[in-house]
Amino acid sequence: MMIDRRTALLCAGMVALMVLAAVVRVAFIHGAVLVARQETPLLWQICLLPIIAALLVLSLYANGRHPPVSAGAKAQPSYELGQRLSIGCCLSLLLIQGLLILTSLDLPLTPWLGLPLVHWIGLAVVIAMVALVLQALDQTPKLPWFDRKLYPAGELGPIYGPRYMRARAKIWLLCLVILLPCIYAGPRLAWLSVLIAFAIAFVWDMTLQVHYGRRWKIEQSMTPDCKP
Amino acid sequence: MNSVFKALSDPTRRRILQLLRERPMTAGQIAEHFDIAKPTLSAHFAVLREADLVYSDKMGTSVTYHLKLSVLEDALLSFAETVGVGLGGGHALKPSRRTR
Repeated sequence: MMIDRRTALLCAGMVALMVLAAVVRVAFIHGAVLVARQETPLLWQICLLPIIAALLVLSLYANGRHPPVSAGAKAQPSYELGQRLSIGCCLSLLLIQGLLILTSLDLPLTPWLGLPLVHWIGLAVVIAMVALVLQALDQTPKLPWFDRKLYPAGELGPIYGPRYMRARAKIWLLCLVILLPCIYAGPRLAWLSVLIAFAIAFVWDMTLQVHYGRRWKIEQSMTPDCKP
Repeated sequence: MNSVFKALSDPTRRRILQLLRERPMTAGQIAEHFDIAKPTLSAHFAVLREADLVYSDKMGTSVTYHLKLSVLEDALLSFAETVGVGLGGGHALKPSRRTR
């Protein structure tokens, strides 16, 4: 998946808005009555969300920075999926941050079914964002593979590249599905679970990449006489 | 989704997808694994292309097929293979390839 400059600028605008909102909330709104137990987790979540959005946009833009010359129209599905994911996620994170800021101000909010309406809206946005990410991960193996040097594995070739894409999509999809129950957990436990799960998935992803990179190098270095 | 279920319901087409899981292959390389006529194999490729499970690259006179399965479709393929959907139909593999 990748995004072009136009989409990157649009998403950067949303990230800038999130950063501004976080700065205004943390630095300038004084005197608001805060529920003591909720203050710190809410404030660090308000500051963390723009970082997550920025990392997502940066990684997708970096992917699309130097598309292979042979890509052409083949790269179009990758750009479309990347655009949907980046804009959808940035919008969702912006909305969630807005709702967190509202919650942190402890304003009198209309309850609905025993919880503030803001809570239900936030839950709906989180579920929509997770569905978007799951759908994007599901469709990733259908995107065409463009051979390029990955770090740290190098080139994976036309055989191991698509295999790596399929395995990688499964790893991250599994990671996300396992994390779904954390929506209902407390913020500290939820973020800790996200951190641990992402760390494991990242290590697994990199190990797989290096493994396939080595196999491709071995296959490339085999002489025609030795090849089976 | 109907076209995906239709494509995965045939054991021959599932075997083609499993072969493509290993590496992209030309139509000729895939045909070596089956004991069926080429027009029949072409019909299977057409069903797989219609279901968007494979795509083809034409280089010169040869056509190379690449796998194009989403995670869900991959899981459906594994499930259909495990349960044995459509067994009793499908085409025989060549004897030399049956042990694979």
